[in-house]
Amino acid sequence: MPVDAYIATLDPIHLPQLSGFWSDMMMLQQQQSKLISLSSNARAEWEAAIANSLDDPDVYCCVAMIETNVVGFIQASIATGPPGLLPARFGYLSQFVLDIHSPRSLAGAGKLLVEAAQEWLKKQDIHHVRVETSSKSVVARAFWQSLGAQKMDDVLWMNL
Amino acid sequence: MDESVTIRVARSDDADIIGMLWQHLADYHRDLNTMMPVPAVDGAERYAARVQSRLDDSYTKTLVAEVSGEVIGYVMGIIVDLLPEMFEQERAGFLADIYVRPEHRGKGIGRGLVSSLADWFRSRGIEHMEWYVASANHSGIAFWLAMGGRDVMTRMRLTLT
Repeated sequence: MPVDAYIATLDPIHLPQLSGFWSDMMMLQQQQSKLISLSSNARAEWEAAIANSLDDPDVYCCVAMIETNVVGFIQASIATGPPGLLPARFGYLSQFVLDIHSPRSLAGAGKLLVEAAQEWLKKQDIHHVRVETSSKSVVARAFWQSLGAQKMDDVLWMNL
Repeated sequence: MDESVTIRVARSDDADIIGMLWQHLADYHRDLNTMMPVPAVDGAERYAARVQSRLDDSYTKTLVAEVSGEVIGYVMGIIVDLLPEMFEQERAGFLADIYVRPEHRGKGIGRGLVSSLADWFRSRGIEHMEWYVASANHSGIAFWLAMGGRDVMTRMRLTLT
């Protein structure tokens, strides 16, 4: 019988496991694009960055759980736009991590995480949210489009 | 590039015209896609103030293209830590904005502005640069791909109701 995913508050005890999920996703992205390169202590630095953000009132973090297992994480933050353009403040989904090697179905955990972040942003009176995804990942783009996201910009890179 | 075009570092007295050019750039993007950010009523003034405030900033470079004494285009680049600390290659050149008046396009002026900015980045030890192009700006994307740009990420937007 399928088990439902649910949203819970991030407990720092989850960070080592979540940094493993994040690292797996980044390594997959690295295989698709040689332009991304993780530093030697990337996981520890990712954990420190998340831990440091927990007291920031403009940042929201939560995890998705299935039974007692953490399977995903999202971080939303409120960013200030460049001068002269509106909205002056917008939401940014800065981290979105799932256990991509999970042997079990993630039971819609990704969608639940995004919805939780959206609810928090709406409570902060934020109505525009930006997210970046690998241009090579059709699956990721399809996921965001299924949630109503529309393509806005291409991020380009050039070696000098 | 036509010999009558001069590319030089922006000066204080260029700020207002750069603000006006930015307004054209912002309006152009709104025409392409209504999802793009809306210029504020005093957006051009705010942008000009930003240009002014960064003229002496060692991490920012604004260059203008001038034809017969008239500024007809500009580019602004910033040296930033684009990626968080868990990635290698932390410092990068970010091309924030570029605009050339439509009647002066197709003469290599945009390419000249980008090349000059790239030279400045290189002189500061920067090995790559990054920028955003509106997905609906097909001619812009063609320009950037011809310049050697590679598509790495897609930025998407969700509207919360």
